[in-house]
Amino acid sequence: MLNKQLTYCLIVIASLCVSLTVCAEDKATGKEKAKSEKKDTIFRGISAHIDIASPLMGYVTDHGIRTLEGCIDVNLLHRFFPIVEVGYGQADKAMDNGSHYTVNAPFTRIGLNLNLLNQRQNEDRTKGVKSYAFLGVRYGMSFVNYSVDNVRIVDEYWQLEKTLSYHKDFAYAGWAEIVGGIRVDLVKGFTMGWSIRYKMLLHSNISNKNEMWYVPGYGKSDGSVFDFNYTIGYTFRTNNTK
Amino acid sequence: MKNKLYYILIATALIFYGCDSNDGECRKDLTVKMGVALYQMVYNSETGTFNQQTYTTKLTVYGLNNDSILYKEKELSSFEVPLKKTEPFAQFVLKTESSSDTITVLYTNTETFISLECGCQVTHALVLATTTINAIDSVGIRAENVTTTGETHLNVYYHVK
Repeated sequence: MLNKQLTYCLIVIASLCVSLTVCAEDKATGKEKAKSEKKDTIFRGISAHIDIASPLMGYVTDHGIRTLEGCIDVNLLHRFFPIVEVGYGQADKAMDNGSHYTVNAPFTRIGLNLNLLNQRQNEDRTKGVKSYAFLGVRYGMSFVNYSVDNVRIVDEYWQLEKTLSYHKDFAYAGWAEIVGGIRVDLVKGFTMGWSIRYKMLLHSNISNKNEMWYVPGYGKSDGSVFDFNYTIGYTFRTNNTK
Repeated sequence: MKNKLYYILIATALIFYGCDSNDGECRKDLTVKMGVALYQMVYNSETGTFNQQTYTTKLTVYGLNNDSILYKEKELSSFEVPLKKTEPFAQFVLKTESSSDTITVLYTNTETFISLECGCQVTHALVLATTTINAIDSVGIRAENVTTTGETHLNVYYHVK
């Protein structure tokens, strides 16, 4: 009798254990699924950064050029980072020959960064991205009011001289950029990044593009340009990437 | 590893900035001069036609009312002279040992902005050329557009002695 009761008790305990285990497994699977679903959301975060290299380098190299720019990018699937960069640039440059160029204009760039690091943890999940190397492309544009003053024509043999000025409102310039760099997590959502850019001027609405000596956001218009950015900012991350 | 990457990036950026920096000096040659070639028309009795022959003579060349001499008593068959960049005409004196002639050239100027460092390049389009008739018989425009140096734009025909 006692043995029977003991057997029943053991069966009940065993059943409970099994059912609890199954329940726990079910719960765990449910959590995993929920977590997995959560991780598979496309939007993973948004970053706002300001570039501190452009104003600093303008000051150091003494080109009479000042630029201030910032950017906002969105983290999609830890892989794609659509980005908008906006800024304002001004140049006030006098040459040895007396020519003087002034320009003030806002500029904007739109593009996409591609995370080069493998973020896949397993078949279903990706790791949270905090630091990554990237390669990207941009299309930039700027509407410029510029003026070139005191352009001297000196005729040494005939000892004649003449001075010319050029001015244009709403001059337009569009360019393409290839960007490579890194974005690094600092602390508590604060991030920084380095990037190097190769820029190519694509088009403008002025007949002699040499008149537009400097295009804010692009640089000197006499050829392709290499540029460098050091940005610092804050990244708002979705819960599954924290 | 991360630090090394930073250093590499900083060095690369500085190199790029260094390469990009411009000292404001113009490195383009914007000189445009009118090329002049000297000829004589020689009669060929066998064929009964006039043939154009290159003429070489000892010349002194300078701009009219200009103290600066471009060529002084040089054996020349061709030479180059600078046109006025801000006026639509220029006059040059071509002096041989025995006589002197003045060539007058009328033209239009075109100012093209090259760069902030270099300023403008002035090119010319020849409209008319005339001469006094002493040693020189006539002049003729060979190429209207004076946009480079090293071409012949004006032919000068001397009398046959």
